[in-house]
Amino acid sequence: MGHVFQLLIYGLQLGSLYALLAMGYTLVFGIIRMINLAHADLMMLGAFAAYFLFQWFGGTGSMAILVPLIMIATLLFGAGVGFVIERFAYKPLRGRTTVASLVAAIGVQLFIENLMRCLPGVGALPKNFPTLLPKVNINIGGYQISSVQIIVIAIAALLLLFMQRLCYHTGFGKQMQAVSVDKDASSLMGINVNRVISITFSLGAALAAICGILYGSLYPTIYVYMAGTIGNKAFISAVIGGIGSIKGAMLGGLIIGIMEVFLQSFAASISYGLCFVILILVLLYKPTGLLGGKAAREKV
Amino acid sequence: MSKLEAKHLGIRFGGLQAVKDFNLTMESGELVAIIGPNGAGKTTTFNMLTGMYLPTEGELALDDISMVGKMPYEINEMGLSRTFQNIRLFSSLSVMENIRIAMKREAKYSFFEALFRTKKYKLAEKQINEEAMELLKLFEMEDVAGLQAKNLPYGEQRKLEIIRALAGKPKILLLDEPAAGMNPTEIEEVMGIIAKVRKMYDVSILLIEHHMSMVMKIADRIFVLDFGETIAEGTPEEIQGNPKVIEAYLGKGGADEDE
Repeated sequence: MGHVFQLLIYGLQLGSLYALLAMGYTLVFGIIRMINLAHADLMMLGAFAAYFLFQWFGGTGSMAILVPLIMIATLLFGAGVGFVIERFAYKPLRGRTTVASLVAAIGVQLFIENLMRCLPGVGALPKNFPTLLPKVNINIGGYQISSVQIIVIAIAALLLLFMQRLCYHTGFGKQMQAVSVDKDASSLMGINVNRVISITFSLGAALAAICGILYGSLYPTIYVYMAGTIGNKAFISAVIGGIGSIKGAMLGGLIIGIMEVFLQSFAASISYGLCFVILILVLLYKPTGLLGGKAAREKV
Repeated sequence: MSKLEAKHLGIRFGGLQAVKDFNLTMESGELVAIIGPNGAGKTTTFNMLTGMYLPTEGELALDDISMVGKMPYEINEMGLSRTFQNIRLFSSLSVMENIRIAMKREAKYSFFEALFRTKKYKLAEKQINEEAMELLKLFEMEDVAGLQAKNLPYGEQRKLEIIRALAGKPKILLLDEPAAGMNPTEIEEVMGIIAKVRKMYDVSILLIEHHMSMVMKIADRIFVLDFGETIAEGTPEEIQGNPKVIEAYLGKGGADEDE
């Protein structure tokens, strides 16, 4: 039983990372029906931003002040990069075919990864992510849980709660919903559609950047191509939960994360593949995802 | 007092002059109708007024502030609101939410107050809901406030579009065929709603409509467009007897017969 509990914690930590990333996919898809394949690369950028910030400023001041500052800086950095990407790569293509923005997203992904690889001090080799979060082992009933795990899960849960509140209980959330249904009508009802889309992108990107720090803290090896598999699984999470649905992204992330950890403990080599089996099953029996609405039938 | 003014307004799509030399001055409280055969440029004119299209010629101003080149949401904030020929409600949101989105977003609470759902936020929310409810009550739609907009009957959806446009407290209300696809009883109801709006709100209305009986009854002034040109302008009585109008609607033979 204790073993299951420990696996559940691992599943939760991984699942909450997927959920954070899936949130970005789902926000962008929900609002402009676009699959932002470059989304997970924001996570890589976030991880590297924190890595360099710690290299430059590590040792100055106490960790209790420095780490939150690094997190906030990374968050803002992510939001900024998200804004710039949307403004220059996606906005000019808005209103064109879905394929145009899909290809643009692939281009952005290749651009970011290869630009990072060329930068001095980054390169293709993996880097060790610094220990930003305090690491204390806690013993519960003979099983070890690290404080890092608890902090990561707590931060992720807070951010997810924040997003849930933002989308369903604020005026901005209402505007997002309106834009997602009908851009022209929203604009004629006095909503600045471009601004709503920009902010949505920045929000998703900021979440991804924070996700980079959390990921680095749990699995402390970061490299420029790290977005690949994680991004895929997060995207699968979003689709399983019902892409476009905020709660669906959370649910999908947790399902994939927990499944993956449990499967890994039985048969490590097939766990990634089984993600796709789940995806296929969900798509076969509920094509709009577990919490997806009826309107999600979309050709890509 | 508000004044909408269009001078020599026109738009050209490539080689096609869709609207040409459109002149309109609307005073407060007036109801002006635009009529004309299909393809005459009526909706195109609406699209220029609301900022969806950028006019290629002429000027457009609300209370002497130019509207040309402004984004649709900015024009909405200036006090211009519209409904659509083909209904464009936020179909998956509730009736109430449709109204609330259109209500002017005065900063009654900050973003963080909303996140933490403070007392002030809850109070302000309650107030906004009450305001929206009042508007719905005025048009006898309070019973369906919680329904998804797409589940309303067709006539009610049209009605909701008008109420939604009103929720932003516009100075000018543009109605694009509010009675399209309605039966005579429903048309009567729409006319009742428009009359109510004029009585309760200080708003000028610009109306596109095909139902002549309705237009003749409620319009103060009528513009007739044909192939993008204003061929006649005047009171309903003047328009009814205008041979050019009859010609545009019935063809040249029709006009001859009438004479």
